[in-house]
Amino acid sequence: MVLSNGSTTSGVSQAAGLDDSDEYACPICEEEVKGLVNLNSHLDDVHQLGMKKAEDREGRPSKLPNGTKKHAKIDRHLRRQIDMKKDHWIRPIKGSSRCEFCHQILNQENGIINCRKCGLLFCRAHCKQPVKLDRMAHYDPIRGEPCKCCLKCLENRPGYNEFGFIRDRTAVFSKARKSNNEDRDLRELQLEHRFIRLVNGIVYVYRVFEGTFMASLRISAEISKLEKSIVPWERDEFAIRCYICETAFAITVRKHHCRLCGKVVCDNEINNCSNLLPLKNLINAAADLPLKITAQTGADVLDIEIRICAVCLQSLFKKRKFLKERVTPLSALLQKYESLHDISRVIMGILPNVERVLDRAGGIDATPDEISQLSKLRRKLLDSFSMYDFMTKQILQMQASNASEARIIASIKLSSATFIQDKMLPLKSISSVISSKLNTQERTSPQASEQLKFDNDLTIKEVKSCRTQLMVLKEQRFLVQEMIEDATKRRKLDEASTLTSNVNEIDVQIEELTKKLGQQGFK
Amino acid sequence: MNLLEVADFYIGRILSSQAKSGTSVVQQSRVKAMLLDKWTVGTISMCTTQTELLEHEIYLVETIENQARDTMRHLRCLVYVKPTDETIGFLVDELRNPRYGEYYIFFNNTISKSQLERLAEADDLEVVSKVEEVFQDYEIINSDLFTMGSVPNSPLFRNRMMWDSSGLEEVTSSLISVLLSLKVRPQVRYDVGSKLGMKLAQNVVEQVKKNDKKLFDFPVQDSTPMLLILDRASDVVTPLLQPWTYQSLIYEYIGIKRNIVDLSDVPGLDESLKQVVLSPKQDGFFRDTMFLNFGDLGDRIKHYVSNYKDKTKASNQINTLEDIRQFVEKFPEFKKLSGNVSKHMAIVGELDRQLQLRHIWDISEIEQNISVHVDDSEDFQDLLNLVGNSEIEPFYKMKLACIFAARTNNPGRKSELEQLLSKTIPLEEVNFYHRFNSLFVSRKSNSAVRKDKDDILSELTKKFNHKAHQKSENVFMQHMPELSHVLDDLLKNKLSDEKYPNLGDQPRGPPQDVIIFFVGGVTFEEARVVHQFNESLKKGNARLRIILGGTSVLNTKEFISYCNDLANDGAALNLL
Repeated sequence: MVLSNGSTTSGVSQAAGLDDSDEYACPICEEEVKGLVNLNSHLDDVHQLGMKKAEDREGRPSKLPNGTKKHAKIDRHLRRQIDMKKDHWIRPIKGSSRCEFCHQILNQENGIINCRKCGLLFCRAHCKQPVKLDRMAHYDPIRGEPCKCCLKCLENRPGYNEFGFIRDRTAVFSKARKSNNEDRDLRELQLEHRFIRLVNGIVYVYRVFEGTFMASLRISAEISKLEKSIVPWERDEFAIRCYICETAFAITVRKHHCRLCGKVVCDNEINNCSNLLPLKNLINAAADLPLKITAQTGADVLDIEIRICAVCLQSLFKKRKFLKERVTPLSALLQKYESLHDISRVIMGILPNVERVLDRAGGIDATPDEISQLSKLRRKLLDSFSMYDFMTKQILQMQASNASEARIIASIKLSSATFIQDKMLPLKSISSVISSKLNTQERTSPQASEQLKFDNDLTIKEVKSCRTQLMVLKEQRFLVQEMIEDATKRRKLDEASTLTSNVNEIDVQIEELTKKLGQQGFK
Repeated sequence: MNLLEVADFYIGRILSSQAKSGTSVVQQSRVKAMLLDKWTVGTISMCTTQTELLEHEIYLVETIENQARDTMRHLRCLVYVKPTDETIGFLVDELRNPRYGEYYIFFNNTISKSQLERLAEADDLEVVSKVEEVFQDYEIINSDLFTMGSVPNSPLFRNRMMWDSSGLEEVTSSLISVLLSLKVRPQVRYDVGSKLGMKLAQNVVEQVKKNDKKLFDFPVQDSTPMLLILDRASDVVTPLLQPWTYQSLIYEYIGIKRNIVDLSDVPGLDESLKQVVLSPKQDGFFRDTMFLNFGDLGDRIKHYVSNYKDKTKASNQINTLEDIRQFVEKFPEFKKLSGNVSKHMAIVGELDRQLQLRHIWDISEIEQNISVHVDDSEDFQDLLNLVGNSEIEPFYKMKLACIFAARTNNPGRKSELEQLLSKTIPLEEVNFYHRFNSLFVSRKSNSAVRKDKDDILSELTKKFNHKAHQKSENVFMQHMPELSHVLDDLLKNKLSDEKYPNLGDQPRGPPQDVIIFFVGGVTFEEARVVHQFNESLKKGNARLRIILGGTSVLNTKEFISYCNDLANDGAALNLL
């Protein structure tokens, strides 16, 4: 290893390393050492550099019998153990230390072993996972030596529990798209430019010649002159086939020129290779371009038709149309859904509140204040739920404009049903808390009762408790009714019948209570 | 190394992709559409539920092959597809004339540069906001069992020695996605006796090396994970035996596809039970019982039903207000339970019916005996009796003969059996028996020699066990697949280098994560062995984590047809 150190001391470096009589100064303690080999062993022994070299020396010198070789191996093993950081090891206490994994008491039989990494104590069976550690007992997958470790340290190695590789290709994609679109944008700009010149030219021609002698003739002559000046037209006699659909021209398949690119196209109604398009539609579709169209521009100008081929049409108007469609307002269904979502947000906002208050009000020392707060929240929640329910029903009744919308409606129906079922639960516990609280409170404060009796011989307290009971019952009747509907819909008739009998029981109780309450019942 | 967790992670990633900027002018609905292709439909339906989709406001699920979709400009669209040329073509069309407002595209495997450029060229309206590769180009069946996607384009193999070129490509890329999804850069080992395995291993190694820096740049582990490629031909007895675990029984006798069990052929069932969903992820009872054998399963079902009865009894007595309240609160749970109980009752009832109908109990006992005890004269007599029995379907007789042929060393008995066979079963089945013999049994001689050496001891212990505890052992599950020997060797780090040579990285340390892949298909019996192996290690000594996969999952019938495919093409090759 440190052979290069040899040359630092003596200027006489030519093959000096082989000569044992040369003297070297140790680079660390500056002690004089005879010969390179001795210097090396000095560095290894005194300054503990280069374990490896030392081991090699031990194994190499003489041809030892097998037994001693083994001994050397153990010796090396021991050395490494000694070198490892150990001060984080937990000392075992005889008879009371337990294995961190199986919690049995450790003794000589099942082994008392420190996990080399975390230092905790384990029995032999639960501390034999090989993990490669360096001397500071840190995980080192490349240069470390395998050491006995516990399961936890094995599992917590970085990378051991990782999964789910993902590669984002958006950047590469956008780059490719950008270089593609740059060319296209350039072409589009050219077309736009021609289109502006054409439209403005036509408007100008009309303004100049309108009302003059033989206006219509002169105008059309001027316009065809203008059209040819905007883009040079391809010569008719060279065109044999339409450049889009490749149909050969004939008497029935006439040649036409696109006014924006000048190429010769056919006028096939099936392929739509080119079309005569009224100016006003084009202007409408490209309102963002600087066209010199004013309110005074006559209707006859706007009725002029220009021939444009399908390719130019696409590149000029496809994107405009798409963007325009994207900013149109949402369809009625989607709008409704947005508001449905808002309400569900409101409900989700209230719920944690409710749970907090419920926790406090559920306790023994709940103040009447908290209970009233609870009932207030409850009312709010109930209102939101009925609103939610109402909106859902509205959505379900909507006419779907296409098959996809119909499927969206079906999905909304499902998701709102689960939403109601999931979120209604705390509501039920609120009512039970309120009813039990009211009962106990009335019992503890008898001063308000007794005196005031209604005509049907009930105290205020009784009336109150009856009312809450009634309320709970009605709520539950509603819920059970919903379940019945659900069950019948899914053709689980046995369930439905049990449920119906429940409803009947509830009905009987409700009737009893209303009878008892008489006029004090709910209106 | 839990495939279900991997799936959850990827699906979550796809579902929760958010709009990047608060797009101001554009009117956008919160409602999202999802666009799948014929491959990913399976993935989505196996790995997630409708409820989960609805939670993420995905209210519209469409397939990209469907051309008659409506235009919904205000919807954002999540695309999740497999990057095949066909699908890319559809996607290009979609981007040229977009039906939705914005697209987030996810591929389930690597997409080539030219494919990406094709897409970029088509996107002149700039509707794509995200392109991402996740890696799940395979089907997850259990937490430790996967297969290739279920729609193969063409047969994967030409014959026993040769892959179909596109099939090889498909399997390779599927395996690569498995490795990437588990973030594993493995040493690749293969069964030296398998030409198919070797070719696949070479291809995988090549792919890994090619994408070294781009994809497989994972931090070095102190033990190199392993991909072990085995061939179905190395253990042909396991797929021939009648299976006995719940999951495999369903697959054998009723069929399960994308977690849906089709019971519509079962007589006298309620309308609602014609098609039931059975997924270990959602159905706790199934998760607990899927690896149990039929006997244990019966006990569990009994317990489950009585448990259910107790609950219903309690809820039938509703007298007080409190009872009603409790009933109402427990109702959803109660309903769920009742649905689940009737579902499992229906399935188990049907299984029982099938087992009785086909005399599976008798057949399976003899199958197991002849596969475990080689050349026992008592077993042979039983076998002859069964083959002579006219109530047994010829299919099972032929299967029994195949198992016997694969195991026996006694040519006299074999010819005796063959004679009886030709009298009792149709010619077609006899033909298959001979085909099977020429495919696998003629090769057996050399593999048997290799095996004998280390198997003498285990054979002895087996015999001893058989004699000593004849009653305690389960007669129907005596046979252990070859795979269990491989697992033992792996655990001891003694996997033979000659038998399973290494092609990939040089291993450092004994393997801790192993992915085993069966060319030609894997059985649920092997899945059970791997599952039990994983479970037992979890309890204390988790040095090894195993994931099992195959080109498909085989039941006995599918294995027979797989053999037929191999044999047919092989015959054609011989003519040349």
